[in-house]
Amino acid sequence: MTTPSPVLSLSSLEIGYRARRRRRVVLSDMSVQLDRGEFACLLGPNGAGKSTLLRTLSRVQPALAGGVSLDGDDLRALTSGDLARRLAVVLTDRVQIANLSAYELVGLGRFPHTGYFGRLGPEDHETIEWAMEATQSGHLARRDVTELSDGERQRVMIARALAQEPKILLLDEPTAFLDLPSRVELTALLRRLAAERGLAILMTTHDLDLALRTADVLWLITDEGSLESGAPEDLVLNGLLEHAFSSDEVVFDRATGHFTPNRHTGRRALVVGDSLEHHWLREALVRSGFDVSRDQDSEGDAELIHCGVTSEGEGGAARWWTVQQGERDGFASLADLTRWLSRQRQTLQ
Amino acid sequence: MTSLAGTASHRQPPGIEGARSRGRTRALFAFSLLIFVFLLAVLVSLSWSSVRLPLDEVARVLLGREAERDAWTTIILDVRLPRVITATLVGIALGLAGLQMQAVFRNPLASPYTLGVVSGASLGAALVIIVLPGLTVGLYRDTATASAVAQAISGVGLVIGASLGAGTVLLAMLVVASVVRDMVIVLLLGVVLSALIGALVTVLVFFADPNQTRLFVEWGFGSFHRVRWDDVTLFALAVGIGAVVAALSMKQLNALLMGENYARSMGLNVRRARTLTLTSASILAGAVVAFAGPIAFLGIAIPHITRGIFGSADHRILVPGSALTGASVALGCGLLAEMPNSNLTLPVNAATAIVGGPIAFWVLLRMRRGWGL
Repeated sequence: MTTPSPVLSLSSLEIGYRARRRRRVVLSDMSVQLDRGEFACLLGPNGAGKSTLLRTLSRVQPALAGGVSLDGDDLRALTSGDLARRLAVVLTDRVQIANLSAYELVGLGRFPHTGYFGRLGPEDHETIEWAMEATQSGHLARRDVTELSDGERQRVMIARALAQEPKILLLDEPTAFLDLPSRVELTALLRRLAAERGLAILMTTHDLDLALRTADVLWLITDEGSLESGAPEDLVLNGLLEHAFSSDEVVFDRATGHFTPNRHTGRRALVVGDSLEHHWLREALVRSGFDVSRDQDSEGDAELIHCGVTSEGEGGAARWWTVQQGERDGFASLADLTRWLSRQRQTLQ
Repeated sequence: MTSLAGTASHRQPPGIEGARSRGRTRALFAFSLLIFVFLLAVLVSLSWSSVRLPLDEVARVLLGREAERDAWTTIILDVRLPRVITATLVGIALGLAGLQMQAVFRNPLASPYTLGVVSGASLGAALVIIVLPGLTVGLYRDTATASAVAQAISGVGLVIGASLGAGTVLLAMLVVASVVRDMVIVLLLGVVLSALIGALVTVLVFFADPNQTRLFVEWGFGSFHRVRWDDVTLFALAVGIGAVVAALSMKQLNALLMGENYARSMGLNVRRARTLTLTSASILAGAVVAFAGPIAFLGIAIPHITRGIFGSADHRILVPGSALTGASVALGCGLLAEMPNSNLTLPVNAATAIVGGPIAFWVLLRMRRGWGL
């Protein structure tokens, strides 16, 4: 058995702009692949060339060098109809068309499959219904697209792309204007579409957390202008993610895969205990820039602020306490505690 | 229904029922109503004018029999019928041209008028009416020959001149639209271009002799009276070409609804579709300006009235719908201009402004809720 060839394959691709005789190269020497059923997220800082790459892959602009093959054929050799039947896009362009139902909008996706007058036959209607069902937007079918919320419209736009029956789906920041639950839902939807329908999906996003948790593959544009790909975990372990996104302001925690603002102050605290209260007390202290230790032996250290929580009833309103150089203070809430610590720091400086 | 035969095994997802045929009943009803209104408008236009003729006499003449009086037959066949056909063609042409331009520019205010196409056609017409006779007089010393040649030119020449003028401006606006992304600026540039061309026309009129000036000013009022039986074929041919292109580009116009990028991603050759559509719009608008003068407002208003009637954005409905609506509205404007039962006639442009102005107003007010396309 031969191994299946990838649906999307970039070989030594160089992208950028050509103005008169000058070439402005945005990214070069990209060689990556995407297989059937894979959900990939394209990550990279603003202006790194994410949109340029999508535009090149969808043939809106020509590549400067190298090649792209779609399902085994050279991108340049495809007719526009062939291309539209293999690759569909969801763009950031706002689509607001009065008097157009969501169903009709999805129906526009049949464009490369219908005849000269665009008449929809029974198979076209079935495909539209399938696409709306797959994106869970069937209940929106009769609504006007102008009445849809951002999340609903985005799902209808994905259904429209599906109605094109492509093998590859490219999405340009589909989660940009969505609230958090809609973002998670949409990403989960895309991942399921890739896995269940065998689509190759590539989406650009700024939502690193979500990409780390859901993508099969990450395509990462680095500061050096190269494109690296791998499983999210690979990119965490080899330090590429950290390198790409860490700065003086933000630090990447390799253990958790989270980015946190760099608020490191060099102050240290001790919290002993394992209850839920202790856990969130530690979180609050980390947020305030503390290194938190749980080692009881270091109790004698004068630099160390010992923090804790009294059990219900015992301390009344002042449940949270700190002991600093033998002096004990009580606080009604974590807000009071962290506020006091930061004020103390300001006076120390 | 045949479309259900193939779907026996297909389970419709819940909630989607009826989405396939949304608006179908309304469209059928609207088309029937529009056809009825159009036929009624034709009959009434033939019967009501300075002299009112009985409807049954009109019907009899139309069916090829003689009217009660010979004069009535003449009036109906040689005077009113060409006028009714002219109004119908003007309505169809402006409805389609407006629809095409609004789709290509993705702007509810785009029309042959707002984009300077009509003023381009005016310049073409002014050149033919004012400058050409002077040239022919220069070429042929003999005034009789000169005026005969001028006469011959002014028929076909006016059409060609106006079409060329319209086409040139449209081409210029097309170039502008491909460079400038902001469509509001494109529209404003159209207005500016209109003013510039208007200035050129003013200069031409200023140096023209009074007779030609009067001809040109009368031409500017717009009229459905000018087209005789000899010219109807040519006018119908021009409108026919535009209508065929519009009918063949319904699918493309639908794709353009989503904007250039999406249209291209679905396999549409955007540049070709644009060029074809705007060429057809310029033939339509140019023919109208040549045969009936610069008719205002219908181009912008008719597509919006049609959208209102059908509640649809689908150009497979809007193209035939705009043609039908346009024909009826233009006939209505013609009727209003005739001021039935009086000896007065208004310039057609006054009537179209009275009908089209409020609609343009309404469209502008509606634009707050997204753009009304």
